[in-house]
Amino acid sequence: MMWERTISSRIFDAINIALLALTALVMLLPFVYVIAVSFSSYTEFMRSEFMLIPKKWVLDAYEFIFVSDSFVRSLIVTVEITVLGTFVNLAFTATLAYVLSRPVIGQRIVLFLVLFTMLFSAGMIPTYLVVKATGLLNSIWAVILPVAIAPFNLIVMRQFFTTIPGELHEAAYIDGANDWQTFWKIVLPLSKPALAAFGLFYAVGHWNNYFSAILYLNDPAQWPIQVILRQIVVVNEAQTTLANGQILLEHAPPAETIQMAAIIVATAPILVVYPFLQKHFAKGVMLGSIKG
Amino acid sequence: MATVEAYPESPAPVPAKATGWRRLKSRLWKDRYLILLGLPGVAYFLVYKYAPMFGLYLAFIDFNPFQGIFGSPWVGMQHFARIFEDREIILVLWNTLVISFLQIVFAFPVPIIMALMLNELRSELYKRIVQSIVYLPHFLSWVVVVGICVIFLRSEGLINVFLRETFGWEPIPFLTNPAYFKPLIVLQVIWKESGWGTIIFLAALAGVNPHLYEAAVVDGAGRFRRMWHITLPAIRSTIVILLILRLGHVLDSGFEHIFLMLNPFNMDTQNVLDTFVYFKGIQQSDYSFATAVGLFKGVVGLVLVAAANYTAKKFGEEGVY
Amino acid sequence: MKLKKHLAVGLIVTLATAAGCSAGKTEEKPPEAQGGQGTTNQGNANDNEKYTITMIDYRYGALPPQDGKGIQMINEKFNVDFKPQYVVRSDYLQKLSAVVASGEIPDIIVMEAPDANFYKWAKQGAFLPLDEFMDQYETFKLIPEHVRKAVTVNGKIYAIQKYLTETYGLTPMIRVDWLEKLNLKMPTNYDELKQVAIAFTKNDPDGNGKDDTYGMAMAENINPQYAMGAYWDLEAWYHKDSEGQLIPGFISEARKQHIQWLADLYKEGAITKDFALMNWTQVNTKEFYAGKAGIFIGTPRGMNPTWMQALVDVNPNAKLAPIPPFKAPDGSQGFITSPGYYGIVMLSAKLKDNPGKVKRILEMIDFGRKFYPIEQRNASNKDFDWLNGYEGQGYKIENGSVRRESEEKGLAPLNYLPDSRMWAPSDEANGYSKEYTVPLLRDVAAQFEKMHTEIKHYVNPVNMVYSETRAAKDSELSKFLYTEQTKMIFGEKPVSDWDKMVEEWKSKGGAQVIKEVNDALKEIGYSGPQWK
Repeated sequence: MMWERTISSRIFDAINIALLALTALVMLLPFVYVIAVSFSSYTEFMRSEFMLIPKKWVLDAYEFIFVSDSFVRSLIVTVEITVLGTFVNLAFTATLAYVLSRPVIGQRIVLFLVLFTMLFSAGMIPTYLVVKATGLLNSIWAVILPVAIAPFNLIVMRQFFTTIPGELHEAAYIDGANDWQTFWKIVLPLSKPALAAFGLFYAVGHWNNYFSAILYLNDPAQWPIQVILRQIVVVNEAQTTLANGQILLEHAPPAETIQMAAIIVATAPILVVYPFLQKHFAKGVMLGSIKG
Repeated sequence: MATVEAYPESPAPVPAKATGWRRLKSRLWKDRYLILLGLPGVAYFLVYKYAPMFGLYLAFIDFNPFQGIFGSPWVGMQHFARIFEDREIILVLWNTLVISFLQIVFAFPVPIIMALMLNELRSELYKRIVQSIVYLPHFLSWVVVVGICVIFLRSEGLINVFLRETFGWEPIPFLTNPAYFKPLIVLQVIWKESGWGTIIFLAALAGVNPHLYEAAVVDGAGRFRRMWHITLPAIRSTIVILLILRLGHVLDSGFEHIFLMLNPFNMDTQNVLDTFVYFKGIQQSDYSFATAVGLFKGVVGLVLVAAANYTAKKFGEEGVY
Repeated sequence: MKLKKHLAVGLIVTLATAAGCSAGKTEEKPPEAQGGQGTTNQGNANDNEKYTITMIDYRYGALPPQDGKGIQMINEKFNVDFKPQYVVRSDYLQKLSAVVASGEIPDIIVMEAPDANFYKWAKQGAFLPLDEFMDQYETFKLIPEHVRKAVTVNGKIYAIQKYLTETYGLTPMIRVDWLEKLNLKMPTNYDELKQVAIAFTKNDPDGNGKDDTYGMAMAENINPQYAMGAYWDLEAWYHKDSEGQLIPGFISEARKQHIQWLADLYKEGAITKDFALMNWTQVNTKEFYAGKAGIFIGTPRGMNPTWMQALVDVNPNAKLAPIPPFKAPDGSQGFITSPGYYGIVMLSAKLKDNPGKVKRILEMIDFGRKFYPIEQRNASNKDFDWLNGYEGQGYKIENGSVRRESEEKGLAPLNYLPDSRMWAPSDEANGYSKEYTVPLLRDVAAQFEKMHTEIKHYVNPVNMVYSETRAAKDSELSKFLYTEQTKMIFGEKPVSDWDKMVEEWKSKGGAQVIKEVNDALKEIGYSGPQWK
């Protein structure tokens, strides 16, 4: 019996590993293409259909991006926004999600109202007017507060909280803890995977954001990285579509290499952060929390 | 515990309303910490989600930024009528629903399966590496993804050139034959978003008690059995919630993605709602029309979500609300 | 004697006092401008008030910083506190809408073209009418009457239009080295062009023994259209229908034949095979400038030096030349004009109670539009030097051409002014070809310039009028026609379906567009085809 189980188990593992490897490969290849193009010279790019390894490695596209002062500044600004923003996101979301996971008065109504905002939104202009009325224009809070909670994240995080066993709450109650203490001392520590997952979602959201920055922030010095990168990409597009009336941009590498470099630059920091979050997705978080 | 007595040791009778109010007050008092804790979140929704909803009024006016929201002329249902003025709208809605349906059936389960597979890996290192790779496609823009597809699939693209030179085949019109359109769209979505989609399920799986697995092994359950009886149920409620939420967006179809894949050859038959609205010559600032379409989508989504939520509860699941 | 002396003294004193008084006045007024060779002109302002001026403008690409040197220079020179806001073009309309909807209209608004918003807002009184100022400023006077019509609403002019060459459109260009290799002559009609395109496809014009070339490069939306004259141009309202109404070239009989011609070429493999799937950049970088196609388009200004250099790297013997327009069946010969402007500057109507500020703004605009002949585009002309941020700082001269610092450093007033495009007295006066450094590019651009001076151009009447339906439905209608005509070129739809296509176009709103355009032309007294 043990022997059979081991064999079938091993076959299962082998197939699993192989399938995942194949999947990873398929998902990796286009990214390799992007990297290759970003490091290639424009002549090579123009002459090749599809490349995985450039014949000649050039840094032109990256130079073009990094040379602009606004780029470095925007990098710092983006880190600020992402860190501050994600913290605000988690604070607002986790609290409300927890509240709604308990049999609190008005639970169902509030949940419905939250869901409602996922389906109906008044759009850019009314939101702009409200942001203006609350005095946030031209401050960093304009890109943080109006998106403090993503309804989707709230609803799913709330659902995660409901999976925490009732015995824990009772045990805490018996020990004399109130809701706040239960939340802070018991529920939150047990919810690290959820916090890591949604923290990641929120962080990536901030990192990739450009539109609200353009809309609410007039001073280019406050703009995050995606806005700067968008400028870089757009200028090259313009050169190609509008032959008339544009100031010539000499010596600019063609759009594609820069676009690809922009993608790599924008994605790399997240790749760096992710491994630190992954450990929270390991199994056994609940281990030992319930006695016996 | 106190025994119930037939005659009053209890307080004098009190009118029903007052009792209700008393109950409410005591309930509020009991929940006071929770209420306080939830206040910031609720305040957020009130200010930044509900206050702007006055702007839904936009759908009923001919909005002009210069005249402002309340200065622009009222047009009633004109914008909604405009959505339905072309017979094409029927085809367009059909396409949108079919693509959504295909995505729910084929694309929705993939992150779940992938998460389960990742969960079964014994090597933590291998797991982390694969995880990091599979979420990369999420960061590529649709412009890049479709661009790569075109390089491979066009009639002079890599695949057709290979087929021609190796087997002497005629080029396969992957991109111009409308029959390939929807499958391609779904495959592209699977490729791009499945990896990122595993994150939620992995987070859910992290909360499963490993003791349960150990007990199952002792009981003689094989890998599949364990997955079926322990792992899946653990994430079942998450799956249900995500499915219900997905239904709310049934009329959304990834504008940029579809827009990039449309061309003169499939345009007639594969248009979806978002691109249809766009091609109706919408100036970028025709917010009234956009708001009307949004309202329409929202109503449809709401109906579906309410129905799905009700059904889920009937099956003993926890709904969204 | 004494009387005369007294008179003389009196006269001298009077004169002296008069001179002193006017000198005093002149001291209050800054010195007048001295013609083209500029002394620094501080404008004709009678007041010393420092105005705060707000502006919203778009940019393709790099945006100048809020605290750039260029702004300081402007503030100094014009005595203003200039507060411009710049937005990346792709998001401009949304930001503009939000800002306007919130009730804060900047003093100066810049747009790319008069779209439906421009007309709506003009009619609703958002902009200041500028008629009275058109003759007061040198550079405004230069805008031709027929060009001004495009921004005239209800008889009033609401915008200052920015310069665009009238004749320098995108017109076909050919690989002369390939012609020479195959012993062919520059084509002068469509039959010859067809033969050349097919020869390029089948006869190995680059002589490398490989079957890797073809005739004409084309991108999605049948772009370039390869119209060899206004007669065939889809944008030109040149032909008339059976009722004598002008119609767009897009649905004309001439276009129908042209599409058939393209379909024949496509069958021969002489056009980019997957053109319907390729965007403009791809066709440029991967097809023509990679040396695969022999015929494309060019223009004196705005060709990409990086791409041209790539072509030279791949085909060092490449030679290019423009293809002159063909003679049409009705005897006409020549390409169409451009609208004659690109970009418009409006002033907020709220300024009507502040004529001093209006004057200051107009001075700023006028100053940026000043023309400098080629020999004066350097530090010897003080105004040019100022505008470009001083030699050595904002720009430098390399091999006789001006090399400007990147816009995002914001070192020059040119980066900030509402209109810093000089209005040239003639297209050639710009000297665009001289600004290029790649020799092949310089050469072919010069050839284009020369060709445009030698040919005629049809003034496209549709640029003079506004049609509401056209503004609302043009993209939808055009998309429809592009789709149908692409299918015809591919051979999926027979060209004989043309009339059905036109009928459907008309019923979708095209008929209304024809009516509105023709009615509007009658209203402004359009007299008939003009050629320049």
